[in-house]
Amino acid sequence: MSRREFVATAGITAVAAGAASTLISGCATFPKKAEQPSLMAISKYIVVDQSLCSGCRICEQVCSEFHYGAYNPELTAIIVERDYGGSGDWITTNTCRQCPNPWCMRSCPVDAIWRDVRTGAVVIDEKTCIGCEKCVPACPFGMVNMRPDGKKAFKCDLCGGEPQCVINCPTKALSAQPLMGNETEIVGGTKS
Amino acid sequence: MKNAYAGKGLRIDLYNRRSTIEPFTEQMRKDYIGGYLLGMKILWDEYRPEYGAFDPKNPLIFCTGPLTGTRAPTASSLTCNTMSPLSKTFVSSRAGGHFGPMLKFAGYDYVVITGRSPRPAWILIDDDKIEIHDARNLWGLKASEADAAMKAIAGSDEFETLLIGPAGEKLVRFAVASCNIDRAFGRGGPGAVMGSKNLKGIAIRGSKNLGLANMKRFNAAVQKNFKELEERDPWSWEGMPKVGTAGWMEAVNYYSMLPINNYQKTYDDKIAGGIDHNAYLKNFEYRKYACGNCALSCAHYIPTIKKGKYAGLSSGVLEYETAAAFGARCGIGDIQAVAKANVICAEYGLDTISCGSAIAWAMECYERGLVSKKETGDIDLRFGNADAMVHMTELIGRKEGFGAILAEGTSRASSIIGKDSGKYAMQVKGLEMTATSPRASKCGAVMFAVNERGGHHMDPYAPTIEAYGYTIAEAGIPEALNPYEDGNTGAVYKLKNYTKLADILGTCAFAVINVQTLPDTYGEQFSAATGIEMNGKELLKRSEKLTTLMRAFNAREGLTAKDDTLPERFMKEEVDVRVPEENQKWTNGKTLIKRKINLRKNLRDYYVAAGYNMQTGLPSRRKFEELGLAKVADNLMARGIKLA
Repeated sequence: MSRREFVATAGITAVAAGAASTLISGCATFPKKAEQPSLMAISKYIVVDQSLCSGCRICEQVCSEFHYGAYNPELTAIIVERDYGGSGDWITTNTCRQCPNPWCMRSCPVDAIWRDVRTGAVVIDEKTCIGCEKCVPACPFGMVNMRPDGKKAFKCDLCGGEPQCVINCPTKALSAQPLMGNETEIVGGTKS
Repeated sequence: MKNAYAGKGLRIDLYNRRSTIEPFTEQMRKDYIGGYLLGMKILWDEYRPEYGAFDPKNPLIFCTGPLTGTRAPTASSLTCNTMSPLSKTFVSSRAGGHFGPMLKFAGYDYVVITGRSPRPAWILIDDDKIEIHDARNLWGLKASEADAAMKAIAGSDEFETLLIGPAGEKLVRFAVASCNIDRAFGRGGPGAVMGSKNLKGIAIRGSKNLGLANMKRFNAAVQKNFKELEERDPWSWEGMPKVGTAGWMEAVNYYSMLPINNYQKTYDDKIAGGIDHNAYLKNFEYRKYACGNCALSCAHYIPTIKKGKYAGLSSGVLEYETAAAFGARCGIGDIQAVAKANVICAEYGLDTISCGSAIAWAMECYERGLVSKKETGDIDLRFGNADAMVHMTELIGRKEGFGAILAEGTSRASSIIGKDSGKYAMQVKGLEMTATSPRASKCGAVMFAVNERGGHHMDPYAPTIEAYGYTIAEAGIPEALNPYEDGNTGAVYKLKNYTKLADILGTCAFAVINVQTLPDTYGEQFSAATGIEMNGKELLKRSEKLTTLMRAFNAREGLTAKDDTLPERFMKEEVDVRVPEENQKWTNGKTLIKRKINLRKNLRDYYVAAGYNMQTGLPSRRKFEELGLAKVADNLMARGIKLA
């Protein structure tokens, strides 16, 4: 089972252009766990300017290298989806939205997922994670995945505040932007 | 120990439907590094001159380099070696895309495919799982259809594909094997070899960790390499992401290297103006597209052509070579027609360079009355006839009518047509020349003539080095060369070995094409990635080993110094060459000169620099021994081939 297969099914949620912003405000209406407003203010997430992205996958490489010390296309929290010869865009890069009220966090039965106070990123605690895979289908964007060994889940943690993908992106397609910023402009991780 | 090698090679026997895994030993890694060098070593060992390209025993070898799949700039190469059905010698071709890194992530350094499947087959590699599937339902599908179908059957978009189109199945001799549809193993017909093995394609997915021996040291070397790319060649660094290789057209025309009308002229502002990057920008909207780990993103993708005859068409990468082959060579200054031909080539799986070259040859023969309208099937094959060019491309892809003759390549086609037509076949060792007219570049002439795989431009891209006056002391060019004065071409040998560094390490030629990356930077990256300490000098020795092994292969195939030649047009026809302002220092201020090439003089200097025998074109036995190729030398001598 791979994450992109999952994305294909979960994509339905994310496909409709306005869906993501509706989702963000929508789930904020029904909070299960209290979110501190001050934390939300510092939260950022990685935005992709799809028109600049060349699909070189350097972001994937640096992501797996930074977190696991090795390159691995299955161990990255930023995903470059490519559809060669398709009629639509060839390249769609997908990132974690660091949702205000994260679906993954709500789905976790052992509270292994929380928001990092320093960076505002939604992170998974490796030690607490029991690898039940509940968070994987919970994410409507397909951005929480299991490691190839199937033992732990992983997702974007903004590299402790200095996202390596943003630093290393050769085309400057990636940027870290405030979560609560211009919601109207930012739709589903894509500048529109 | 963690290092950039996966440490395993995969062998697939299509006839017995069996796959075996063999170790890629430490000693082999040190001796043969990877890429072309490893591929040539396997080809030398397993191919016999009596086989022929379409023999099931002809091995089809795909190798990664040690840097493939790492973060080294442009490190996405996969190389292909096999016997060529088109030329007199081997195929050595590289392709970018994402297939190469994926092979590494699946845990293999190389794949060797032998045997012929009794019925059409395709191979699925998912980490350790290797399956051979029936491809009868894929047979006949165009590249993009086959790509989608294979991914659908494999069950995920994560798979990378390497496949052939209908041209490969029909054994068109210059059929390509395409990676991700638009990146291809282009020259020499590896697609036809796949077709002869009844192999439609390979789909691969990997999820294994690729660790490096010393990540910190490696990253420092990578940063240094990026800096070199930026500082030593600012044009490519800034220009490539914008327009890709299409941006060369204007410059090549300016430097009088464009093969107008099958190399009859060296420049034509009107034709070049119709197919250069300005026409590109005016006609198309396009977006960037990069191979794995590449910051240059030279490739571009045209979502849909908005207006004109071919409106609605979506096209892949339109490279300089493609535009020059279908445009300049055929005298067509119409970028829309070129884009159409490019799409046909991508879908059928044809080498755009050889295909355009074959059509240009046919056009010249037609204009000279060597081919009649009856033979062409009522197609008015005149220079500049865009519709005829597009039609002919389609016929070659389907191998129908006159296209079936052109599908044999210009060398064979000219022996079918006979008469004087061979004179106009622009090929070296059976492989059609690429689109850089060598009249304005003596090193370019040598480069084409001595190239081991035939009329190819990639090792080294000497014309740009000369035209722009690039220098690199480490690779034997301490000062700028005079492109217009024959002789003094010894530098090409060292430059050639330098350029081959990219081929054995698994990076793209664009990291070395304008001598950007210094050998020691490669040494540092290689050492940090693999844990095998080697500096630039030692790596250059491996490149020389590759050159020597390639020459030995040619000698075994019966090629001699006589085959290091050019089409006689370049030596006999004196043609106008425009001298750009910055190079007028070489011509005493003259802006227009007449040029033909004194190949003898140029070749002599090259042979002396390389230490080659003037008859056999081989180095001395001592050289073979010094490079660790004593057994190869023994083999040649046992066949009665004289070394220097």
